[in-house]
Amino acid sequence: MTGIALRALRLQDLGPRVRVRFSRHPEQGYPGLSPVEATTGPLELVAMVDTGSSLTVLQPGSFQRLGIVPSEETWIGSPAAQRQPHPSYVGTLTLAGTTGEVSMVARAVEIPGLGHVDALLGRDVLTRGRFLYDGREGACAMVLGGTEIPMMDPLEDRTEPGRGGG
Amino acid sequence: MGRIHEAEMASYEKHRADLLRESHGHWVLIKGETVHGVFETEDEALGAGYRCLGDRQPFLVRRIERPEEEKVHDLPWYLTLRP
Repeated sequence: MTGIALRALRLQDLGPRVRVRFSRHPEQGYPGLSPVEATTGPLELVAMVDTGSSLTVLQPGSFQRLGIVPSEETWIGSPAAQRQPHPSYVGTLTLAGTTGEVSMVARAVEIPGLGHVDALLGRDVLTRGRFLYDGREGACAMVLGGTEIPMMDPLEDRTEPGRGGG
Repeated sequence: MGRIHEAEMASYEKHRADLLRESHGHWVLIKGETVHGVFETEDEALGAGYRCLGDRQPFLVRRIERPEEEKVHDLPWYLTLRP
């Protein structure tokens, strides 16, 4: 069992990672939350691209920090669990590209167990662009909105992950 | 735990046939029993919701789909869903 757990952590550690921001919708004001209860600025996150996920996943508590309430129940399932309804949230996902920022509406769920990353970017994001994996070189490249999204160096350690900008 | 947007989902189901006929694939904005509008994109529907309804009262923005089209999202095996 220990071997399996360690292997899972390595998969996540070595996966393609990008730095992203998650924030409220531009039209959303400030819900009835005090500054202590809600981080009003965007969350700066380290996200791993995972083609095994069909939607974006964030660590539990992320949306409460942003003052975003669930928008609906989304059906989700995994190879290890039966399908079930799960609260989903909608916000704005922003990635910094080489020629500018790319922002998009993203629907996400909160699930524990992301290990050493704050979020997963799933196929919902990848459908908006191109993601290339070069197995020989062990390198990945992502293009969204016509701009290349720099991947984090595989050896780069995360610093102050999941911090809010409020 | 209560279902999210129970009233809005009931309203969506009530109006689903008409919505499908007129706006299949678009996005509907619903608060309570009231359908506030249909929009081409999720972003437009959300923006209209926040502008018209504010953000203190949750509203439903949902893609207009047939029941068999509703997607079940899949997650990686290493994530544990609640029991």
